[in-house]
Amino acid sequence: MASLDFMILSKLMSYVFTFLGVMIVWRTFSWLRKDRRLTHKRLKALPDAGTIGVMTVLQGSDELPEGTVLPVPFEGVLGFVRTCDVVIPVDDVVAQHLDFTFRNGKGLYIYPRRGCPTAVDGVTLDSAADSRRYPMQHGSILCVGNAVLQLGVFAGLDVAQFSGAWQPQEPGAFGASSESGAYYPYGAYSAYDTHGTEDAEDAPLPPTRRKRRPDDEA
Amino acid sequence: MKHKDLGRPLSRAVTLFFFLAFLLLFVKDCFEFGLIGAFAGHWQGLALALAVPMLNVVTTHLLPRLFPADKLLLSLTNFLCALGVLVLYRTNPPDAYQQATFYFVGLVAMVVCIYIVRIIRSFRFLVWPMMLISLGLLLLPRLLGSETYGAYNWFSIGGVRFQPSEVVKLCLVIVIARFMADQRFLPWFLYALGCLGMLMLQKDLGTALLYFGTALLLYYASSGNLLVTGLGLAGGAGAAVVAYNLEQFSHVRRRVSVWLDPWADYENAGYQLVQSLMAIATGGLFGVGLGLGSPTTIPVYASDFIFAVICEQFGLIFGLCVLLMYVAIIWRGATTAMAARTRFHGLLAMGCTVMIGLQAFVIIGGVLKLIPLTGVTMPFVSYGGTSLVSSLCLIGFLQGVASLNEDALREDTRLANYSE
Repeated sequence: MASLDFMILSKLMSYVFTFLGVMIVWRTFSWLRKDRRLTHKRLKALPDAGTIGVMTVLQGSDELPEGTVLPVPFEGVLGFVRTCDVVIPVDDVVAQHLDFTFRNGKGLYIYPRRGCPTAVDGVTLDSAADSRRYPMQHGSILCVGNAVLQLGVFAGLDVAQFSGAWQPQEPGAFGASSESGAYYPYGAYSAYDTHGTEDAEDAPLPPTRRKRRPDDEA
Repeated sequence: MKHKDLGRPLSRAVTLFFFLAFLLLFVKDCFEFGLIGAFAGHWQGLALALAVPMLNVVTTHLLPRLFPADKLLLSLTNFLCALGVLVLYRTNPPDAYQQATFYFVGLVAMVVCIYIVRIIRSFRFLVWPMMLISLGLLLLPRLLGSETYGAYNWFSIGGVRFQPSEVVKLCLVIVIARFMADQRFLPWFLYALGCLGMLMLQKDLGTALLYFGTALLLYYASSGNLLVTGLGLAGGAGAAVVAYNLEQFSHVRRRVSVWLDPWADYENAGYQLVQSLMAIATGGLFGVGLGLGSPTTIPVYASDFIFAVICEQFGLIFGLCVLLMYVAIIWRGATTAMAARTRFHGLLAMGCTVMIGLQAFVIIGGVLKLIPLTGVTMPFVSYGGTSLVSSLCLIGFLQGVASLNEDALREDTRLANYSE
């Protein structure tokens, strides 16, 4: 049995402990709130945060017209369904067609799923070794199903080399079938395999990230 | 800079709380044994009054200078871990010393986990071995262990008791996050099913509930498919009903009947819950006072019913504060998951958050008679080395993702400045 003095002291201290507990919770939530505001403010100034660049549609479909620009995250899945990180609603693109991951200094690695034909700069990726050998660079062309996309990596991100021009090409300028004017996705790009060629020298500047300014529209 | 300003008042309050609390327990010893007797035989209280606040200051302020860490998460987990040590010191000091040791081990494990997440970015090459090892680990208690409270979830190696399901939950979160990030349904589904099957063999339905809930919520977070999530929920409910009616799970039936009316058999089956409810009621709003009351009358007070002890000693308002701290951890975890730059890291952070949140809800709900008792531990607070270390590892994963987010935000700012 505790002494009466201790009982009084302990009872008095219980109010102090309750006060400190409430204080800790209050401080925690005010920290959370202020931190959220700070992060929101930082992200608002960086509208392209979380992406490495864009893919421009060179050949698509009615749902994905030519010239559409798709943001590309650091890692994700490209496919037909809306849960994918890059959605390509084009014929012959399957639900989850390929996985991609960006490595600074190397490029965007493309890992096609089994039975999903994919080509990077005209080279068909048949194995994981191929995927590692041919990462996409700034200006690289990706062919998935009937879609043809060109990658533009943001300035400031390191890739091994620029593989070609950033500006999307005119339809029929390369790899096009002679009759229909549509892109011929697999094999025809071998002549356009620009990995480490002198084309990179003349390539226009890559796209840059936007930074929100005070006079920008909300 | 902002973090530093916000963190200091919180850290000061936490440090003061533990200094006063341990000092009060030492003063109690002084009243009981005299000043010389207390210094001679019970000096540990005074040592803890200095060591625990110091550990809090070191981990909250100095560790983030050595490695990237979220200071708010660190402060909250430190508070909860130290609260566990405090309550255990009040009830049974040797348990507290052991818990303090595991707390230190857990902090080291947390730092290791932060670096694991930062160094091993994809975990692709690790998931298959992890799946095999974890399924093997879950089989061990059934082969080598003995029954404890109706379940076979423990086994001993060289006198040290070990609960594999606490380690496997780390693997579960990583494996599910990896396969869901790759949008591969079958491997994680079969793995989760295998884990649940093993837990059924162990008759450990509390942990099975945690695993199931985590997998289901992660699936919803990954796909947003409400229909399949609903079907999964219905399937889980159906399996629970079937298990309830099986002879092998008679202890579950007993727990449900105790939950419905603990007073019907308050001297036997309902004794635990009745004592817990009485302790909470005795505490009132402000508690009976630290060092007073009789928390040790509640069976399994150190692990399953530690929340009842907290409410008795510190009161309902403080109990609510502890609950809100879990809410803050969940909030922080969800924010970290949403800010993650890769799908895998987002799901990993969400998995850790869901696991901690669900575990806290399941045990506190059980103690408050909101749901049947399940026998899981209260994260960070309950007595138990495996549980404490694995909970701190989950926080380590969360911290790892948070630090990667911060790195990515800095990189984004650099790139935006590059374009200027």
